Amino acid sequence: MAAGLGFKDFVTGEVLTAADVDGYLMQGIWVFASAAARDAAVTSPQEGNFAYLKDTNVTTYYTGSAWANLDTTGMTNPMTTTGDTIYSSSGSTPARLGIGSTGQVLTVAGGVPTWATPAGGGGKVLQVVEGILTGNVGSASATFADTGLTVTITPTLATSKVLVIASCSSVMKTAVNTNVGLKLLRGATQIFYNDYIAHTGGSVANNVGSVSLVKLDSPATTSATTYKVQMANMAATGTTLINEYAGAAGNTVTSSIIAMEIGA
Amino acid sequence: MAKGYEVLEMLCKGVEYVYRGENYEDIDWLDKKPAITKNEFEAGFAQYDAWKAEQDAAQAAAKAALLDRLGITEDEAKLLLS
Repeated sequence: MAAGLGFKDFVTGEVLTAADVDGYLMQGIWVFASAAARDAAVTSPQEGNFAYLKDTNVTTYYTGSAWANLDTTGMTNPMTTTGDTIYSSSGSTPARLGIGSTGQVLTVAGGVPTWATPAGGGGKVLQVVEGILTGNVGSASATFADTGLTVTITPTLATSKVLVIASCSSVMKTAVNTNVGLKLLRGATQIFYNDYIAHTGGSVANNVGSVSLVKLDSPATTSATTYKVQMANMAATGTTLINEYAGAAGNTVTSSIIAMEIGA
Repeated sequence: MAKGYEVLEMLCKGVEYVYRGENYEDIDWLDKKPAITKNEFEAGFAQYDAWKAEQDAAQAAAKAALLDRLGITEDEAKLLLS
């Protein structure tokens, strides 16, 4: 079989020779029943010859020394799952890197890429949210009840800590022998407790100003998490209050609760 | 002007409640059944000052009677308690 001669633009009246046919016209993709049929027909293949084999549905080409399969010399796709990526595991060998988890970042370990949970900034504040309570809240019950001072935070990482700072303003009892109880809760779970606030041992009113509830919490979740303050009138007599006010015009007493996500 | 909790203390002794604001609707009756009506609550603001004055007068009278019975002055009583 003649070697391919490339491309020729035949002109009107030009005589088509055997060499033209073999070198130009026969240089398409030949179709054979099998490799054996190809080898029987093409006894002297030339570099650049192509043959399609019907039994295996493979296109072959002659390298100059052997027939090679065109269809299998490309990269075999190693990906199997949405989000997979491909990297070289060794030289030109492709390998699959499966999709990582939410929040993970791409890093390098042992010379190849891998998904890993980030360190989270090493104690840095990742986000801050605040809740405000305006208007006074009173209790005549020894049962702890919601004050309305609440904040919701959605941690970006399950390893993060959440620093919760609640400042209850103008905390007082009226002129009875009781005291104020305050709780800080994550959802329904108590994480901080304080009572005997504003206690006098007698029947006089007592306003102790601001009371802070501070807790470094480890919620271990990336779901929305609500922190809230509850209050009780420990002796269930008279009234215990937060945000009590003197009534000065233009001045509103507020309490606040701040949640800060701290990277682990 | 009386405050909501003062009116509630006057009208609802022994009743368990929590309230968040100054309005009747802000009261959470922990016994589930409202101890007073909205009209009673709102009328209580006008009644409170007189009630408080009465309470203070009664307390002052009781204190004076006690000091008289003991035969000491208020200053002497404070000295005893100091």
